[in-house]
Amino acid sequence: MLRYLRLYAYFLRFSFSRAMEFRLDFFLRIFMDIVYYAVNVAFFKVVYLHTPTLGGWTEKQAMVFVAFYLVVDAIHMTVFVNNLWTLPQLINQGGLDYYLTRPVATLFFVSLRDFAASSFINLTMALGILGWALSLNTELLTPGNSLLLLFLLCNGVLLNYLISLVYLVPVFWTHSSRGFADASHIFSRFLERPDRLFVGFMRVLLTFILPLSLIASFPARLFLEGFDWGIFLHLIGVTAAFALGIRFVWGRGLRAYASASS
Amino acid sequence: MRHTLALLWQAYSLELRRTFAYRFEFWFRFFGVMFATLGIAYFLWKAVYAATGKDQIEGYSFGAMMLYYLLEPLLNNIVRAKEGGFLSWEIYGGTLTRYLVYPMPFFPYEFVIGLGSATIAVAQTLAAVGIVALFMDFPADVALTPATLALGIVTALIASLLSFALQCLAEMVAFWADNVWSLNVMLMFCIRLLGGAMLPLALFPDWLQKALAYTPFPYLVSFPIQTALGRLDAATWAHHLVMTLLWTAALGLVGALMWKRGNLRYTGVGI
Repeated sequence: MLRYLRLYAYFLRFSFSRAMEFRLDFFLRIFMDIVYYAVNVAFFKVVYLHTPTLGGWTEKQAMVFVAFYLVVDAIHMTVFVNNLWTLPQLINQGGLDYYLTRPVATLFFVSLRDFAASSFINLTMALGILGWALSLNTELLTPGNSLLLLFLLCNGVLLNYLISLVYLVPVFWTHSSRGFADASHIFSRFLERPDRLFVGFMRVLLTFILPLSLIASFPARLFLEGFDWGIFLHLIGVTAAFALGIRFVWGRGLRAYASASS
Repeated sequence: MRHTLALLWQAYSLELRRTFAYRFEFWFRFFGVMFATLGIAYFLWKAVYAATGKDQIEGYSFGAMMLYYLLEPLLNNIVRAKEGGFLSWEIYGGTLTRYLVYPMPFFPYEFVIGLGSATIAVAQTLAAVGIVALFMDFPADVALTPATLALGIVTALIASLLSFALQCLAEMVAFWADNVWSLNVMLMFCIRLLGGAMLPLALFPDWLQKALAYTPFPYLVSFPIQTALGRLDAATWAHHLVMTLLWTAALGLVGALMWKRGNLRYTGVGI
Protein backbone atom coordinates (compact mmCIF):
# COMPACT_ATOMS: atom_id res chain seq x y z
CA MET A 1 0.00 0.00 0.00
CA LEU A 2 2.80 2.42 1.00
CA ARG A 3 4.61 1.58 -2.25
CA TYR A 4 1.50 2.55 -4.22
CA LEU A 5 1.18 5.85 -2.33
CA ARG A 6 4.85 6.68 -2.95
CA LEU A 7 4.42 5.84 -6.63
CA TYR A 8 1.35 8.08 -6.82
CA ALA A 9 3.34 10.94 -5.26
CA TYR A 10 5.84 10.58 -8.14
CA PHE A 11 2.97 10.66 -10.65
CA LEU A 12 1.79 13.95 -9.11
CA ARG A 13 5.22 15.55 -9.25
CA PHE A 14 5.75 14.65 -12.92
CA SER A 15 2.23 15.76 -13.86
CA PHE A 16 2.62 19.21 -12.29
CA SER A 17 6.00 19.85 -13.90
CA ARG A 18 4.66 18.72 -17.30
CA ALA A 19 1.57 20.96 -16.96
CA MET A 20 3.74 24.01 -16.32
CA GLU A 21 5.61 23.42 -19.59
CA PHE A 22 2.43 24.35 -21.50
CA ARG A 23 1.26 27.38 -19.56
CA LEU A 24 -1.31 28.76 -22.00
CA ASP A 25 -2.95 25.35 -22.31
CA PHE A 26 -2.89 25.09 -18.51
CA PHE A 27 -4.83 28.35 -18.11
CA LEU A 28 -7.17 27.64 -21.05
CA ARG A 29 -8.20 24.36 -19.43
CA ILE A 30 -8.92 26.13 -16.16
CA PHE A 31 -11.06 28.66 -18.01
CA MET A 32 -12.82 25.88 -19.96
CA ASP A 33 -13.94 24.19 -16.74
CA ILE A 34 -15.13 27.51 -15.30
CA VAL A 35 -17.34 27.90 -18.39
CA TYR A 36 -18.59 24.31 -17.93
CA TYR A 37 -19.55 25.01 -14.31
CA ALA A 38 -21.24 28.28 -15.23
CA VAL A 39 -23.23 26.62 -18.03
CA ASN A 40 -24.51 23.89 -15.69
CA VAL A 41 -25.53 26.24 -12.90
CA ALA A 42 -27.13 28.64 -15.42
CA PHE A 43 -29.14 25.82 -17.02
CA PHE A 44 -30.85 24.96 -13.74
CA LYS A 45 -31.29 28.63 -12.83
CA VAL A 46 -33.19 29.19 -16.11
CA VAL A 47 -35.32 26.03 -15.70
CA TYR A 48 -36.28 27.12 -12.17
CA LEU A 49 -37.51 30.45 -13.55
CA HIS A 50 -40.41 28.40 -14.95
CA THR A 51 -41.10 25.76 -12.30
CA PRO A 52 -41.13 25.69 -8.48
CA THR A 53 -39.78 22.13 -8.27
CA LEU A 54 -37.93 19.66 -10.46
CA GLY A 55 -37.70 15.97 -9.63
CA GLY A 56 -39.08 16.80 -6.18
CA TRP A 57 -36.38 19.38 -5.42
CA THR A 58 -36.57 23.13 -4.96
CA GLU A 59 -33.91 25.30 -6.61
CA LYS A 60 -31.82 25.41 -3.43
CA GLN A 61 -31.86 21.63 -3.17
CA ALA A 62 -31.16 21.16 -6.87
CA MET A 63 -28.03 23.31 -6.49
CA VAL A 64 -26.61 20.70 -4.08
CA PHE A 65 -27.23 18.06 -6.74
CA VAL A 66 -25.57 20.23 -9.44
CA ALA A 67 -22.59 20.96 -7.18
CA PHE A 68 -22.33 17.26 -6.35
CA TYR A 69 -21.98 16.17 -9.97
CA LEU A 70 -19.61 19.06 -10.70
CA VAL A 71 -17.31 17.90 -7.89
CA VAL A 72 -17.51 14.27 -9.04
CA ASP A 73 -16.72 15.42 -12.59
CA ALA A 74 -13.84 17.63 -11.39
CA ILE A 75 -12.25 14.72 -9.47
CA HIS A 76 -12.77 12.45 -12.48
CA MET A 77 -11.17 15.03 -14.80
CA THR A 78 -8.27 15.55 -12.40
CA VAL A 79 -7.45 11.98 -11.53
CA PHE A 80 -8.62 9.72 -14.35
CA VAL A 81 -9.54 11.41 -17.63
CA ASN A 82 -6.08 12.02 -19.13
CA ASN A 83 -5.26 8.36 -18.51
CA LEU A 84 -8.51 6.92 -19.78
CA TRP A 85 -8.30 8.93 -23.01
CA THR A 86 -5.03 7.26 -23.93
CA LEU A 87 -6.00 3.77 -22.79
CA PRO A 88 -7.51 2.62 -26.16
CA GLN A 89 -4.35 3.77 -27.93
CA LEU A 90 -2.17 1.80 -25.49
CA ILE A 91 -4.22 -1.31 -26.16
CA ASN A 92 -4.34 -0.89 -29.95
CA GLN A 93 -0.71 -0.01 -30.46
CA GLY A 94 0.85 -2.35 -27.94
CA GLY A 95 1.83 0.39 -25.48
CA LEU A 96 0.29 -1.65 -22.70
CA ASP A 97 3.35 -3.95 -22.80
CA TYR A 98 5.31 -1.40 -20.79
CA TYR A 99 2.70 -1.34 -18.01
CA LEU A 100 2.29 -5.11 -17.92
CA THR A 101 5.96 -5.55 -17.10
CA ARG A 102 5.87 -3.15 -14.10
CA PRO A 103 5.70 -4.67 -10.59
CA VAL A 104 2.38 -2.91 -9.80
CA ALA A 105 -1.24 -3.60 -10.72
CA THR A 106 -1.68 -2.66 -14.41
CA LEU A 107 -5.09 -1.06 -13.94
CA PHE A 108 -3.71 1.11 -11.11
CA PHE A 109 -0.81 2.26 -13.28
CA VAL A 110 -2.75 3.00 -16.48
CA SER A 111 -5.61 4.71 -14.60
CA LEU A 112 -3.59 7.01 -12.35
CA ARG A 113 -0.20 7.77 -13.91
CA ASP A 114 -1.20 11.19 -15.30
CA PHE A 115 -2.70 13.69 -12.86
CA ALA A 116 -4.37 16.70 -14.59
CA ALA A 117 -2.85 19.60 -12.70
CA SER A 118 -5.04 22.24 -14.40
CA SER A 119 -8.19 20.34 -13.46
CA PHE A 120 -6.94 20.20 -9.88
CA ILE A 121 -7.31 24.01 -9.71
CA ASN A 122 -10.86 23.56 -10.99
CA LEU A 123 -11.57 20.96 -8.36
CA THR A 124 -11.11 23.68 -5.76
CA MET A 125 -13.65 25.79 -7.69
CA ALA A 126 -16.13 22.90 -7.87
CA LEU A 127 -15.69 22.44 -4.12
CA GLY A 128 -16.40 26.16 -3.75
CA ILE A 129 -19.68 25.71 -5.65
CA LEU A 130 -20.53 22.78 -3.36
CA GLY A 131 -19.77 24.97 -0.35
CA TRP A 132 -22.07 27.68 -1.74
CA ALA A 133 -24.86 25.14 -2.43
CA LEU A 134 -24.52 23.72 1.08
CA SER A 135 -24.67 27.22 2.55
CA LEU A 136 -28.16 27.49 0.99
CA ASN A 137 -29.15 24.37 2.97
CA THR A 138 -27.35 24.91 6.30
CA GLU A 139 -29.92 22.88 8.25
CA LEU A 140 -28.49 19.74 6.61
CA LEU A 141 -24.94 20.33 7.76
CA THR A 142 -24.76 17.97 10.74
CA PRO A 143 -21.52 16.03 11.42
CA GLY A 144 -23.21 12.77 10.44
CA ASN A 145 -24.56 14.20 7.21
CA SER A 146 -21.15 15.71 6.35
CA LEU A 147 -19.48 12.32 6.76
CA LEU A 148 -22.21 10.75 4.64
CA LEU A 149 -21.62 13.40 1.95
CA LEU A 150 -17.90 12.58 1.90
CA PHE A 151 -18.60 8.87 1.58
CA LEU A 152 -21.16 9.44 -1.18
CA LEU A 153 -18.70 11.63 -3.08
CA CYS A 154 -16.08 8.87 -2.99
CA ASN A 155 -18.65 6.33 -4.15
CA GLY A 156 -19.81 8.65 -6.95
CA VAL A 157 -16.23 9.12 -8.16
CA LEU A 158 -15.59 5.37 -8.08
CA LEU A 159 -18.80 4.56 -9.94
CA ASN A 160 -18.12 7.25 -12.55
CA TYR A 161 -14.65 5.75 -13.12
CA LEU A 162 -16.09 2.22 -13.40
CA ILE A 163 -18.73 3.34 -15.91
CA SER A 164 -16.01 5.07 -17.97
CA LEU A 165 -14.15 1.77 -18.08
CA VAL A 166 -17.30 0.02 -19.32
CA TYR A 167 -17.00 2.12 -22.48
CA LEU A 168 -13.27 1.51 -22.86
CA VAL A 169 -12.62 -2.13 -21.99
CA PRO A 170 -14.36 -3.48 -25.15
CA VAL A 171 -11.38 -2.05 -27.09
CA PHE A 172 -9.53 -5.28 -26.23
CA TRP A 173 -11.89 -7.04 -28.66
CA THR A 174 -13.24 -4.34 -30.99
CA HIS A 175 -9.87 -2.55 -31.56
CA SER A 176 -11.72 0.73 -32.04
CA SER A 177 -12.99 2.89 -29.22
CA ARG A 178 -14.52 5.71 -31.24
CA GLY A 179 -18.15 4.61 -30.96
CA PHE A 180 -17.75 3.84 -27.27
CA ALA A 181 -16.02 7.15 -26.57
CA ASP A 182 -18.91 8.92 -28.28
CA ALA A 183 -21.37 6.93 -26.18
CA SER A 184 -19.56 7.97 -23.01
CA HIS A 185 -19.78 11.61 -24.01
CA ILE A 186 -23.42 11.42 -25.14
CA PHE A 187 -24.87 9.37 -22.28
CA SER A 188 -23.02 11.27 -19.55
CA ARG A 189 -25.69 13.97 -19.97
CA PHE A 190 -28.14 11.70 -18.13
CA LEU A 191 -26.16 11.98 -14.90
CA GLU A 192 -26.74 15.73 -14.96
CA ARG A 193 -30.51 15.37 -14.42
CA PRO A 194 -32.40 14.32 -11.23
CA ASP A 195 -33.23 10.61 -11.31
CA ARG A 196 -36.90 11.11 -10.37
CA LEU A 197 -37.56 12.67 -13.79
CA PHE A 198 -37.08 9.26 -15.38
CA VAL A 199 -39.73 6.56 -15.26
CA GLY A 200 -40.31 3.13 -16.80
CA PHE A 201 -37.56 1.52 -18.85
CA MET A 202 -35.42 4.66 -18.73
CA ARG A 203 -35.39 4.46 -14.94
CA VAL A 204 -34.28 0.82 -15.01
CA LEU A 205 -31.58 1.73 -17.53
CA LEU A 206 -30.23 4.62 -15.44
CA THR A 207 -30.35 2.94 -12.04
CA PHE A 208 -29.25 -0.62 -12.88
CA ILE A 209 -27.89 -1.20 -16.40
CA LEU A 210 -25.96 2.04 -16.95
CA PRO A 211 -26.37 3.50 -13.45
CA LEU A 212 -25.60 7.13 -14.23
CA SER A 213 -28.30 8.31 -11.83
CA LEU A 214 -26.39 6.66 -8.99
CA ILE A 215 -23.38 8.92 -9.44
CA ALA A 216 -24.96 12.16 -8.20
CA SER A 217 -28.74 12.00 -8.03
CA PHE A 218 -29.10 9.10 -5.55
CA PRO A 219 -26.39 10.57 -3.28
CA ALA A 220 -28.09 13.97 -3.40
CA ARG A 221 -31.37 12.34 -2.37
CA LEU A 222 -29.70 10.58 0.54
CA PHE A 223 -28.15 13.84 1.68
CA LEU A 224 -31.14 16.13 1.09
CA GLU A 225 -34.04 13.91 2.08
CA GLY A 226 -32.65 11.91 4.98
CA PHE A 227 -30.96 8.54 5.11
CA ASP A 228 -32.78 5.70 3.36
CA TRP A 229 -31.39 2.16 3.66
CA GLY A 230 -33.06 1.11 0.39
CA ILE A 231 -31.28 3.78 -1.66
CA PHE A 232 -28.01 3.28 0.23
CA LEU A 233 -27.93 -0.49 -0.32
CA HIS A 234 -28.91 -0.03 -3.97
CA LEU A 235 -25.99 2.38 -4.38
CA ILE A 236 -23.45 0.14 -2.69
CA GLY A 237 -24.75 -3.02 -4.35
CA VAL A 238 -24.57 -1.63 -7.88
CA THR A 239 -21.11 -0.08 -7.29
CA ALA A 240 -19.78 -3.37 -5.91
CA ALA A 241 -21.29 -5.32 -8.81
CA PHE A 242 -19.71 -2.94 -11.33
CA ALA A 243 -16.32 -3.13 -9.57
CA LEU A 244 -16.35 -6.93 -9.64
CA GLY A 245 -17.61 -6.96 -13.23
CA ILE A 246 -14.92 -4.57 -14.45
CA ARG A 247 -12.22 -6.51 -12.61
CA PHE A 248 -13.35 -9.69 -14.30
CA VAL A 249 -13.66 -8.16 -17.78
CA TRP A 250 -10.31 -6.36 -17.43
CA GLY A 251 -8.67 -9.70 -16.63
CA ARG A 252 -10.31 -11.32 -19.67
CA GLY A 253 -9.26 -8.33 -21.76
CA LEU A 254 -5.62 -8.69 -20.72
CA ARG A 255 -5.80 -12.34 -21.78
CA ALA A 256 -7.15 -11.28 -25.19
CA TYR A 257 -4.50 -8.54 -25.50
CA ALA A 258 -2.15 -9.37 -28.36
CA SER A 259 0.50 -6.72 -27.81
CA ALA A 260 1.52 -4.57 -30.81
CA SER A 261 -0.42 -6.73 -33.23
CA SER A 262 -3.75 -5.75 -31.61
CA MET B 1 -10.97 28.71 -61.43
CA ARG B 2 -12.45 25.66 -63.19
CA HIS B 3 -9.56 23.57 -61.95
CA THR B 4 -10.13 24.73 -58.35
CA LEU B 5 -13.85 23.97 -58.57
CA ALA B 6 -13.09 20.47 -59.87
CA LEU B 7 -10.73 19.92 -56.94
CA LEU B 8 -13.33 21.15 -54.46
CA TRP B 9 -15.91 18.82 -56.00
CA GLN B 10 -13.47 15.94 -55.57
CA ALA B 11 -12.96 16.87 -51.90
CA TYR B 12 -16.73 17.03 -51.37
CA SER B 13 -17.44 13.62 -52.89
CA LEU B 14 -14.49 12.07 -51.04
CA GLU B 15 -15.90 13.33 -47.74
CA LEU B 16 -19.29 11.79 -48.54
CA ARG B 17 -17.62 8.43 -49.16
CA ARG B 18 -15.40 8.74 -46.07
CA THR B 19 -18.44 9.29 -43.83
CA PHE B 20 -20.05 6.11 -45.09
CA ALA B 21 -16.81 4.13 -44.73
CA TYR B 22 -17.31 4.19 -40.92
CA ARG B 23 -21.01 3.37 -41.01
CA PHE B 24 -21.34 1.84 -37.55
CA GLU B 25 -19.75 4.80 -35.77
CA PHE B 26 -21.67 7.27 -37.87
CA TRP B 27 -25.12 5.80 -37.17
CA PHE B 28 -24.26 4.94 -33.57
CA ARG B 29 -23.38 8.56 -32.93
CA PHE B 30 -26.47 9.83 -34.75
CA PHE B 31 -28.95 7.60 -32.92
CA GLY B 32 -27.10 8.03 -29.61
CA VAL B 33 -27.34 11.82 -29.77
CA MET B 34 -31.01 11.68 -30.81
CA PHE B 35 -31.83 9.23 -27.99
CA ALA B 36 -30.04 11.27 -25.33
CA THR B 37 -31.33 14.66 -26.47
CA LEU B 38 -34.96 13.60 -26.91
CA GLY B 39 -34.92 11.24 -23.91
CA ILE B 40 -33.67 13.88 -21.49
CA ALA B 41 -35.88 16.62 -22.96
CA TYR B 42 -39.00 14.43 -22.84
CA PHE B 43 -38.65 13.50 -19.17
CA LEU B 44 -37.39 16.93 -18.07
CA TRP B 45 -40.18 18.93 -19.72
CA LYS B 46 -42.87 16.42 -18.86
CA ALA B 47 -41.94 16.98 -15.20
CA VAL B 48 -41.85 20.78 -15.62
CA TYR B 49 -45.24 20.97 -17.36
CA ALA B 50 -46.71 18.65 -14.71
CA ALA B 51 -45.24 20.72 -11.84
CA THR B 52 -46.55 24.02 -13.22
CA GLY B 53 -49.89 22.70 -14.53
CA LYS B 54 -49.51 24.99 -17.56
CA ASP B 55 -50.24 24.05 -21.19
CA GLN B 56 -47.68 26.50 -22.52
CA ILE B 57 -44.39 27.85 -21.22
CA GLU B 58 -43.16 31.01 -22.96
CA GLY B 59 -45.19 30.16 -26.06
CA TYR B 60 -44.19 26.50 -26.20
CA SER B 61 -46.66 23.67 -25.68
CA PHE B 62 -45.13 20.33 -24.67
CA GLY B 63 -45.42 19.10 -28.29
CA ALA B 64 -43.74 22.23 -29.65
CA MET B 65 -40.96 21.81 -27.08
CA MET B 66 -40.37 18.23 -28.23
CA LEU B 67 -40.20 19.33 -31.87
CA TYR B 68 -37.66 21.97 -30.83
CA TYR B 69 -35.46 19.27 -29.27
CA LEU B 70 -35.94 17.02 -32.30
CA LEU B 71 -34.72 19.74 -34.66
CA GLU B 72 -31.86 20.90 -32.42
CA PRO B 73 -29.44 17.96 -32.98
CA LEU B 74 -30.55 17.54 -36.61
CA LEU B 75 -29.90 21.15 -37.61
CA ASN B 76 -26.82 21.32 -35.39
CA ASN B 77 -25.31 18.54 -37.53
CA ILE B 78 -25.72 20.84 -40.52
CA VAL B 79 -24.47 24.02 -38.83
CA ARG B 80 -21.52 22.43 -37.04
CA ALA B 81 -20.71 19.74 -39.58
CA LYS B 82 -17.03 20.58 -39.40
CA GLU B 83 -15.18 18.81 -36.60
CA GLY B 84 -12.60 20.68 -34.52
CA GLY B 85 -8.87 20.25 -35.05
CA PHE B 86 -8.90 20.66 -38.85
CA LEU B 87 -6.38 23.50 -38.77
CA SER B 88 -4.67 23.20 -35.39
CA TRP B 89 -3.51 19.64 -36.09
CA GLU B 90 -2.04 20.73 -39.44
CA ILE B 91 -0.12 23.46 -37.60
CA TYR B 92 1.08 21.16 -34.81
CA GLY B 93 2.09 18.50 -37.30
CA GLY B 94 3.78 20.95 -39.65
CA THR B 95 1.57 19.61 -42.46
CA LEU B 96 -0.08 22.95 -43.15
CA THR B 97 2.84 23.48 -45.53
CA ARG B 98 1.23 21.35 -48.24
CA TYR B 99 -1.77 23.67 -48.37
CA LEU B 100 0.50 26.67 -48.64
CA VAL B 101 2.25 25.23 -51.69
CA TYR B 102 -0.62 23.32 -53.35
CA PRO B 103 -2.89 25.14 -55.81
CA MET B 104 -5.77 24.67 -53.38
CA PRO B 105 -7.14 27.42 -51.12
CA PHE B 106 -7.16 26.02 -47.58
CA PHE B 107 -10.37 27.48 -46.14
CA PRO B 108 -12.71 26.76 -49.11
CA TYR B 109 -11.29 23.23 -49.16
CA GLU B 110 -12.04 22.68 -45.46
CA PHE B 111 -15.48 24.28 -45.74
CA VAL B 112 -16.38 22.02 -48.67
CA ILE B 113 -15.35 18.98 -46.60
CA GLY B 114 -17.75 20.21 -43.92
CA LEU B 115 -20.44 20.55 -46.59
CA GLY B 116 -20.00 16.85 -47.36
CA SER B 117 -21.02 15.98 -43.80
CA ALA B 118 -23.74 18.65 -43.86
CA THR B 119 -25.29 17.05 -46.96
CA ILE B 120 -25.81 13.81 -45.04
CA ALA B 121 -27.21 15.78 -42.10
CA VAL B 122 -29.73 17.41 -44.47
CA ALA B 123 -30.91 13.95 -45.59
CA GLN B 124 -31.16 12.84 -41.96
CA THR B 125 -33.20 15.93 -41.07
CA LEU B 126 -35.65 15.36 -43.93
CA ALA B 127 -35.99 11.68 -43.05
CA ALA B 128 -36.45 12.24 -39.29
CA VAL B 129 -39.01 15.04 -39.64
CA GLY B 130 -40.77 13.07 -42.40
CA ILE B 131 -41.10 10.01 -40.15
CA VAL B 132 -42.44 12.12 -37.27
CA ALA B 133 -44.93 13.84 -39.59
CA LEU B 134 -46.07 10.46 -40.88
CA PHE B 135 -46.94 9.04 -37.47
CA MET B 136 -47.84 12.12 -35.40
CA ASP B 137 -49.81 15.32 -35.75
CA PHE B 138 -47.87 18.48 -35.14
CA PRO B 139 -49.23 20.56 -32.22
CA ALA B 140 -51.47 23.51 -33.08
CA ASP B 141 -48.86 26.11 -32.00
CA VAL B 142 -46.31 24.80 -34.52
CA ALA B 143 -46.42 25.99 -38.12
CA LEU B 144 -43.86 23.49 -39.43
CA THR B 145 -44.48 22.85 -43.14
CA PRO B 146 -42.28 21.45 -45.93
CA ALA B 147 -41.58 25.07 -46.93
CA THR B 148 -40.50 26.21 -43.42
CA LEU B 149 -38.39 23.06 -43.02
CA ALA B 150 -36.67 23.75 -46.35
CA LEU B 151 -36.05 27.35 -45.30
CA GLY B 152 -34.77 26.13 -41.92
CA ILE B 153 -32.26 23.87 -43.69
CA VAL B 154 -31.12 26.71 -45.97
CA THR B 155 -30.78 28.92 -42.86
CA ALA B 156 -28.71 26.20 -41.18
CA LEU B 157 -26.43 26.01 -44.22
CA ILE B 158 -25.94 29.79 -44.08
CA ALA B 159 -25.33 29.56 -40.32
CA SER B 160 -22.67 26.93 -41.04
CA LEU B 161 -20.61 29.73 -42.64
CA LEU B 162 -20.76 31.66 -39.34
CA SER B 163 -19.93 28.52 -37.38
CA PHE B 164 -16.96 27.85 -39.68
CA ALA B 165 -15.70 31.42 -39.25
CA LEU B 166 -15.92 31.09 -35.47
CA GLN B 167 -14.19 27.70 -35.51
CA CYS B 168 -11.40 29.06 -37.73
CA LEU B 169 -10.65 31.81 -35.20
CA ALA B 170 -10.32 29.25 -32.38
CA GLU B 171 -8.23 26.96 -34.59
CA MET B 172 -5.88 29.76 -35.66
CA VAL B 173 -4.94 30.42 -32.04
CA ALA B 174 -2.80 27.28 -32.61
CA PHE B 175 -0.24 29.54 -34.36
CA TRP B 176 0.48 30.97 -30.90
CA ALA B 177 -0.69 28.35 -28.39
CA ASP B 178 0.40 24.75 -27.95
CA ASN B 179 -3.13 23.36 -27.56
CA VAL B 180 -6.49 24.78 -28.64
CA TRP B 181 -8.65 21.78 -27.77
CA SER B 182 -9.92 23.47 -24.62
CA LEU B 183 -10.77 26.61 -26.60
CA ASN B 184 -12.94 24.55 -28.98
CA VAL B 185 -14.69 22.83 -26.07
CA MET B 186 -15.29 26.18 -24.36
CA LEU B 187 -16.82 27.54 -27.56
CA MET B 188 -19.08 24.49 -27.77
CA PHE B 189 -20.30 25.00 -24.17
CA CYS B 190 -21.10 28.66 -24.92
CA ILE B 191 -22.95 27.80 -28.13
CA ARG B 192 -24.97 25.06 -26.39
CA LEU B 193 -26.25 27.35 -23.66
CA LEU B 194 -26.29 30.81 -25.25
CA GLY B 195 -27.31 29.59 -28.71
CA GLY B 196 -30.38 27.78 -27.45
CA ALA B 197 -29.35 24.13 -27.76
CA MET B 198 -29.89 23.31 -24.08
CA LEU B 199 -33.00 25.46 -23.70
CA PRO B 200 -35.10 27.58 -26.07
CA LEU B 201 -33.93 31.17 -25.72
CA ALA B 202 -37.53 32.29 -25.03
CA LEU B 203 -37.09 30.78 -21.54
CA PHE B 204 -34.22 33.15 -20.73
CA PRO B 205 -34.89 36.44 -18.93
CA ASP B 206 -35.79 39.30 -21.32
CA TRP B 207 -32.64 41.31 -20.62
CA LEU B 208 -30.49 38.30 -21.51
CA GLN B 209 -32.42 37.59 -24.70
CA LYS B 210 -31.88 41.20 -25.78
CA ALA B 211 -28.17 41.04 -24.99
CA LEU B 212 -27.73 37.72 -26.78
CA ALA B 213 -29.24 39.16 -29.98
CA TYR B 214 -25.99 41.14 -30.37
CA THR B 215 -23.80 38.02 -30.11
CA PRO B 216 -23.33 35.36 -32.82
CA PHE B 217 -24.66 32.50 -30.65
CA PRO B 218 -28.44 32.63 -31.31
CA TYR B 219 -27.83 32.68 -35.08
CA LEU B 220 -26.03 29.33 -34.86
CA VAL B 221 -28.75 27.33 -33.10
CA SER B 222 -31.99 29.14 -32.34
CA PHE B 223 -32.36 30.94 -35.67
CA PRO B 224 -32.44 27.81 -37.91
CA ILE B 225 -34.74 25.96 -35.47
CA GLN B 226 -37.20 28.85 -35.17
CA THR B 227 -37.22 29.16 -38.96
CA ALA B 228 -37.99 25.46 -39.44
CA LEU B 229 -40.73 25.63 -36.80
CA GLY B 230 -42.32 28.52 -38.70
CA ARG B 231 -42.10 30.85 -35.71
CA LEU B 232 -40.42 33.77 -37.49
CA ASP B 233 -42.15 36.32 -39.71
CA ALA B 234 -40.40 37.49 -42.89
CA ALA B 235 -39.05 40.73 -41.36
CA THR B 236 -37.57 38.99 -38.31
CA TRP B 237 -36.07 36.27 -40.50
CA ALA B 238 -34.46 38.87 -42.78
CA HIS B 239 -33.10 40.77 -39.77
CA HIS B 240 -31.59 37.58 -38.31
CA LEU B 241 -30.11 36.71 -41.70
CA VAL B 242 -28.43 40.12 -41.94
CA MET B 243 -27.03 39.67 -38.42
CA THR B 244 -25.72 36.21 -39.36
CA LEU B 245 -23.99 37.56 -42.46
CA LEU B 246 -22.59 40.59 -40.61
CA TRP B 247 -21.12 38.38 -37.90
CA THR B 248 -19.69 36.04 -40.55
CA ALA B 249 -18.06 38.96 -42.36
CA ALA B 250 -16.69 40.46 -39.13
CA LEU B 251 -15.23 37.17 -37.91
CA GLY B 252 -13.92 36.44 -41.41
CA LEU B 253 -12.08 39.76 -41.36
CA VAL B 254 -10.49 39.04 -37.98
CA GLY B 255 -9.67 35.55 -39.26
CA ALA B 256 -7.95 36.97 -42.35
CA LEU B 257 -5.75 39.15 -40.14
CA MET B 258 -4.93 36.23 -37.84
CA TRP B 259 -4.10 34.02 -40.82
CA LYS B 260 -1.70 36.64 -42.14
CA ARG B 261 0.04 37.09 -38.81
CA GLY B 262 -0.06 33.39 -38.05
CA ASN B 263 1.59 32.47 -41.34
CA LEU B 264 4.50 34.73 -40.43
CA ARG B 265 4.99 32.69 -37.26
CA TYR B 266 4.48 29.30 -38.89
CA THR B 267 7.72 27.34 -39.22
CA GLY B 268 6.47 24.12 -40.82
CA VAL B 269 8.41 22.10 -38.26
CA GLY B 270 5.50 21.25 -35.97
CA ILE B 271 5.70 20.59 -32.23
